[in-house]
Order: sequence, then structure tokens, then C-alpha cells
Amino acid sequence: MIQLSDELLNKYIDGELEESALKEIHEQLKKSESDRRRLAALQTIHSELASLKMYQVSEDFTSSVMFKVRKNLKVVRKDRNFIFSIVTIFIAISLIIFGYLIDWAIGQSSGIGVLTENINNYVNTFIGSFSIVKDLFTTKNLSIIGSIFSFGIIISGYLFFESLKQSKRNLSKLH
Amino acid sequence: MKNLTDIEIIESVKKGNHSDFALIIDRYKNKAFSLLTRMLKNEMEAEEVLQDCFLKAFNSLANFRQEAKFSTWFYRIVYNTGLTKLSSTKRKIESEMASIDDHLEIKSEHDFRIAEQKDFSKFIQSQVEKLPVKYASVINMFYLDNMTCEEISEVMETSVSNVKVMLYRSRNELKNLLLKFKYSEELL
Repeated sequence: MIQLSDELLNKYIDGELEESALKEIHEQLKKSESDRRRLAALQTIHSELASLKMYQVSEDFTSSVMFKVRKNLKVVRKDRNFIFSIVTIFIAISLIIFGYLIDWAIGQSSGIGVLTENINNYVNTFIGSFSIVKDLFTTKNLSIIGSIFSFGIIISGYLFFESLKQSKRNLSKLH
Repeated sequence: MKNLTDIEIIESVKKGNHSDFALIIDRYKNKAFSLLTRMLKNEMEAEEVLQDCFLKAFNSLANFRQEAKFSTWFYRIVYNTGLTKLSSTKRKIESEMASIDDHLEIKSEHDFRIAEQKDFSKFIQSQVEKLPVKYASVINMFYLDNMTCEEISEVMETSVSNVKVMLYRSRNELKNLLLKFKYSEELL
């Protein structure tokens, strides 16, 4: 006697069978009490599992996780401020050194023409083939570059002090 | 309060309304906790791991692309963190994480006692807790979270047919127990 397989019964429960297969199963179920019993047991399991117990977390779980989330955010912000401060300091120092070198070069030269010539020689010696870079150091461009760097120093200084103030505020909040 | 979708809440969190993440926690905490408890067989450990899961999810929200459902993405975090916890505590993971080719057999000293009580629900619930990790996870996601076999396969990073095999085997094993302990007479 043919017995319905467990796989077939499971598919029957999940409604995964086609019309023709369903007919065959109904026929077989009419004939076999054993299959009816197996199907009934499987249906009982299926409906019992549908009301599976849901475990409950402790009452303060959400607030506890949110506390950790906020704490985590503070640490990330602190790290970001620290990196920002370091980068700002580095840029400011680089600009100061560059500005100082420009000032020194002007002091060494008797005129802007000689200065341009010196810079051109310098560029020729060290950069050689980079003619585009060399072209930047014309009389007109030098004053523009100087203005841009001065502006950069002012902005960097402002950002640095702002980040310093923010770090102090964060520290005072932590205490 | 308006019933916001997961995506709407996540968009709000991404915009800087971090406190909205509490809505996501409230929505998933008990379901995810049930999954972890059934995986780890320990409620205290499960709660600790779940906290880590929510933190991981929060920190990785930027990586969440809306190609998959949030629930699937989050359950993948929960399931993988649960597995990592299991391996880190050096449990006998090999025996628990039986591959689908292994024979699934539920044994219990109290089976007969519970069976005598003729309390179907209690009996079945107690047997589900004894299922191996993967089987218990499939049952939990399928019945408690109403996930499809396709979604479960995404979470567990396995094929849909493997998920179905685990689901059917779990049901069959429970069914056999039910028939074995003479409930069958009451079924017809």
C-alpha cells in the first residue's frame, strides 16, 4: 500500500501543491487511516508552532541600548574633533612655514624681478620638466598665491580655535 | 502615533534623529531575543548579545541599502552574532550545529512525564527548545517572525531547499514524538 511521504504532507500543509497532487492526496487520505493520523499530527504541530512562545527582554532594555548608542556617538564625535584639530594644526604650521619662506626669499632679493628669477632657477633645478608648475611663479601669480595662502591661514586659525572650543565644551559635559 | 515603516524610521535616524532608533529596538527586541535565546539556550547571554546586535546595526546603518528588507538585514546580524558567541564560548558547536545531512533526533528524559500530562502546547514548546541551533533558528524565524523560506535562506546564507529540509525535519521529528507519546488517539 502506498504511503504519503512526510515531504508531501509538509508541502500539503504549506499549500505548495498543485491541484492534481491535491486530488491524489485527498484520495489517499480517504483510504489510509495511518496517513490521516500522520497528517493530523503534523497539523497539530504546525498550529502549535504558530503560537510559539515569545521571550521578553528586561523592561529597561531599550533605554539601556539607547544609553550605549549615545555614549558611542560621543566617543565618535570626540575622535572626529581630535583628528580635525590635528589636521588643522598641521595645515596651519605648513602655511606658516611656507609664508615664512616667501618672506625670507623677498628679503634676500633686491627686487621682485630678481626674486622671480631665483624662484625660476629653483624650479628649474628641482622640478626640471614640470614646466606647468614653473609657469605659476610669475610676478602676477605670486601675489595671487600669497593672498590665497594668507586667506588659508586665517580660515585654518578660525577652524582650529572653533574645534578647540568644541573639545573643551565636550570635556566639560563629560565631567 | 503614526505607524512608521522600518525604512522611514531608518531614514530619520540617518538624518540625525538618533532617538528614533528606539522605535526599531522596540519593534524587534522580543523577536530577536527569542531567536537568540533559542540559539544560545541562555537568556542572560542572549540579552547581552542582543545589545551588541543593536549597537552593530546602529553603527552600520550607513551600509544598509534598501535592496533587502531591514528585518532580513538585521536578523543576519543577529544570527551571525549568535553563531560567533556560540563559537567563542567554546560550546560543543559541532554537535549542536548538525548539518542538514545529519540525523535529527530529539531526546528528553522528561518526555514521558510531559506526555502524560497531555498538554500539547507545553510538550511541543519544550521540544522546540531542544532543537539544534539551525533547526531552532528556522522554526523561530518561520513561525514567530513570519519570514518566508527565501528570507530565512538570506539570513542563514544557505539555499531555500536547505531551509525547507530543516523546517520539514523539525516538524516531522515533533510529529513523530507526538505520535510516539500516544497523542495520536486524540488527533482523530
